[in-house]
Amino acid sequence: MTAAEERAVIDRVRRGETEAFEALVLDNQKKVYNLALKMTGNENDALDISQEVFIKAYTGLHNFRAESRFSVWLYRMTYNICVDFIRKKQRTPVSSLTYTDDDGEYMDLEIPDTRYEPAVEAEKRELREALSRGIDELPQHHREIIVMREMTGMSYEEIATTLGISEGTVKSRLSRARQNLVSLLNSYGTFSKSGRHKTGKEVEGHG
Amino acid sequence: MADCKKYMDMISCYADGELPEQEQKLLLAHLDGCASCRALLSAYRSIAEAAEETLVQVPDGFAAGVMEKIRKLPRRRSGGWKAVRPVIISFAAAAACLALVFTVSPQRFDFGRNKAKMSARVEAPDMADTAERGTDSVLMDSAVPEAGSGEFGGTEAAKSDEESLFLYEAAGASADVETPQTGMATATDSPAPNGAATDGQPVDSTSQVTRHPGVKLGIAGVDENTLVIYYAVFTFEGALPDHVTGVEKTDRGGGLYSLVVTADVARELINEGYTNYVIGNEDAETALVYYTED
Repeated sequence: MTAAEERAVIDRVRRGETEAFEALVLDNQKKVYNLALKMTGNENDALDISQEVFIKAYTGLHNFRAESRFSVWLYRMTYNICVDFIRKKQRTPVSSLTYTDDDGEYMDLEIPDTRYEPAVEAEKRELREALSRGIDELPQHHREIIVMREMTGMSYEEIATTLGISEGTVKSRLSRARQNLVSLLNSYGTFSKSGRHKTGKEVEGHG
Repeated sequence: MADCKKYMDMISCYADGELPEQEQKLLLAHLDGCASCRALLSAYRSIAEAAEETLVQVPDGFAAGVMEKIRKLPRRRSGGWKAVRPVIISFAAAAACLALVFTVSPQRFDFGRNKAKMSARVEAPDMADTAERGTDSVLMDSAVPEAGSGEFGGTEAAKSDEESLFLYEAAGASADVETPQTGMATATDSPAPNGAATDGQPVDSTSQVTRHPGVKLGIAGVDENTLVIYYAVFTFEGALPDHVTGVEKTDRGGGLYSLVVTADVARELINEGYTNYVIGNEDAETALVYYTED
C-alpha cells in the first residue's frame, strides 16, 4: 500500500467505514506480529499483543497524525505494549553469554571469513535459522533494536523516538547489537571464524 | 588492528546507508586496506538480507479476528469513531495516579472546602479491584464510572452500560466545563504559556468533576492551590524519554517526580503510542507527567 493509499484508507475509517480498517491490518500484521514475537518470545503472547495493537490503533485512529508513517505508529504502540507486558512478566534473559554493552569496551570480535557467501539455498536457510536463534538470545535492548532495524525497517530517527533515546545512541547500540549478533552466529559456526580483531575486552551485558 | 575499533559504529551505519558522506570517505579508506572490516561489513549485509526472510507468517484468520472484535466495540449512535476521544485508558495507571498523588504527600494538598469530597474519593473502596481488571482488559473495558456516581471505583454499574463509555468524551467536550487555565499558575517563575491570568484562587471544578466522571479521572493532576485538571496525566515507570520536557518539576518524594508539560507534548506522547495515561480535560493546555528517578 502506498502512503497515499494508506491515507485514503485511514480517512475512510475515520469517516465510519469500519470494514476498510481490515486492509490496514493485513498490510501491517506481519511486522507487528514479528516485532511482538521477538520481544516476548512467545507466539500466543505475540498474537494477543498484536490484536491489542490493532484494536488500539482503530479506537485511537484520531490520534494518528500523518507526519509519521502509520506502520511506525503501530510499531511504537507494539513496542510500548510489549515493554509493559515484559515488565509484568519479568522475563529473564534466555542466554548467559557475555555481551558487549553500549558504553563498554569493544569485545573480542571474531570477524567472519570473507569466504562466506550464502549462495545456495541450504546456506541461506541455515543463516536464517541461526539469525532467528541469535536474535532471540540477544539481551532485550539489543534484540529490540535489531528487530526494529532489520525486520521492520525503521529509520534511526523512528527508532530513536520509539525508544526515547538519541540517534547517536541508536547508532552505537545498533553497532554493539550487531557485534553481539555476529559473535553469536560465530559461536553457532554460521560464519567461519578467522579470529582476528582481538582488541577489546569482554564486558558483561545488561541482560 | 586496534585502529579498527573506531570504525565499528561507522561500519554498522554504512551498512544501513546512514553514514554521512564525510565519514564514508574515512571508512572507505580504511576498508580499502582492512580485510577484517570488509568481512564485518559483509556479515552485516548478509544479516540484513536474511533478516527480512526470517519474518514468520501471522496465523490465518488473524485480521478477521481483529475485525470481529472491532465490530463488537460499542459504537456511537451518530456514526463512526471519528469523534471518539482517547478512551484507551489503563485503569491500573489511573488508579495508580490517584494512589500516588494521595499517598505520597496527602498533607500537601489543601483540599479547602472540597476536603470532604476529596477524602471520600481517596477512600474509594474498589480502586484495587478496578486496577486489576484494567490491567487485563484489552482496551476500554467500559470501566468508566457511571455519571454522577461520584466514585472512582463505580465500575459495576458502568460495565454493561455502553453509553457510559461516551460520557467520558462528553465530559471533555462539554461546553459548560470551566476549563482550568492555570496549569502553570503555581510556578511563579514560569509564565503561563497560554497567557492566562491567574488570581491564585482555587478553581472550583469539583461540581463539574462530580457531574462528569471522565474529567474526574484527571483529578490525579490536582494542584496544591488550584484544582487544575490537566489535559492528561501520564505515568512513566522510570526516567522520562529525552524529548519530554516541561516546567514545574515537583519532587513528590521517594524518587517520584512530576512535570508539567504542554498538551502538545501530551498529544505527541499519545501519538507515539504511550498507553499509560489518563485523559483529563481535552481543552486544558497542560498535562502532568509522573516519573521516577533513582
